[in-house]
Amino acid sequence: MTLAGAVAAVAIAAGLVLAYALDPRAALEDPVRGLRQLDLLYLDEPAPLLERLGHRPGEVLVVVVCEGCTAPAVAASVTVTSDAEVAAAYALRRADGRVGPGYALVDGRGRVRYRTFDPGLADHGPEVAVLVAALR
Amino acid sequence: MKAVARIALAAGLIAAEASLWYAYDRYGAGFHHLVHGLLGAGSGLVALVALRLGGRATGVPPWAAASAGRVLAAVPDMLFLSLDLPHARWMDVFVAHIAVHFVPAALAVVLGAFALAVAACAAVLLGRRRLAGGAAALAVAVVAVGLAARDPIPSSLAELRARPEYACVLPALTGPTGAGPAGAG
Repeated sequence: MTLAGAVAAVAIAAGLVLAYALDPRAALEDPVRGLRQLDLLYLDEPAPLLERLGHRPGEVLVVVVCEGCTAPAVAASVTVTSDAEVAAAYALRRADGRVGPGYALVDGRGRVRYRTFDPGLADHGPEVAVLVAALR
Repeated sequence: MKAVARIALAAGLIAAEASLWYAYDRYGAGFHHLVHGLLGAGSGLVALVALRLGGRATGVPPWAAASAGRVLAAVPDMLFLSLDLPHARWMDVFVAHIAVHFVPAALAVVLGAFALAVAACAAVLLGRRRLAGGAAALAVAVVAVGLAARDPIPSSLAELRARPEYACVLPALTGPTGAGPAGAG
């Protein structure tokens, strides 16, 4: 590696990071903001307000919280809601008071195992499917 | 290495990275691509510097070390995409794959560490051993401090509700459906 090569490598990396940071999508993709798409089942507690969500014991439920969105295509029970109380209970109420878009996963025992904001959830069915399969 | 081989190698590496980017971008995961890519490549270079300072791995070119580190850091995502395996906390063995998400200003930290790792590698190849060792140590320190300063993964909905940064304060989310800019996610 020459000095020129080293400088070029760092410059390219910095350019990629800068280009990404200037992209409007960057703010949406920070995984800590809204704890987005961590794809790790980090919760394990009784799911709140299950009686409103149509959960059936033994089945995994995808609780999609949003206003007028399209649910992801996934082979599981899916409930779409814009209920503000549900959004608050699942920590899917935005700082501006709006609801979602995001979803939570409830396992067959009625325990919430995952929750994430995801503006692109309609297109992320395969991602949701992996997590749903892990809960079966 | 002959010029044609160099060009072919460079083209291959770029194509591989571009295909990885596409795989991440399909899920709106560009952040993950950059964080794991930079940290992995930097880690590979630091490992190479350490080995060379110890008189080993003298035949391993920097691009190979960086690529190996880059691939190692992406293993959990490859497992997710190819084997439908969700992430788990133990996957931190793959260059802090989980923990790095929670480093404050993660992109800036890994970019700084990468720059230091590249500097260390260039220094060791130029025979500047002390400079190489110092830069490599500083790269490790930057990442270590970032990891030490990270927040733990939340473990309850109550904790998520209590932390405003998890309430998605993003101004880019607009409209009744919360749809972001075109191409988001």
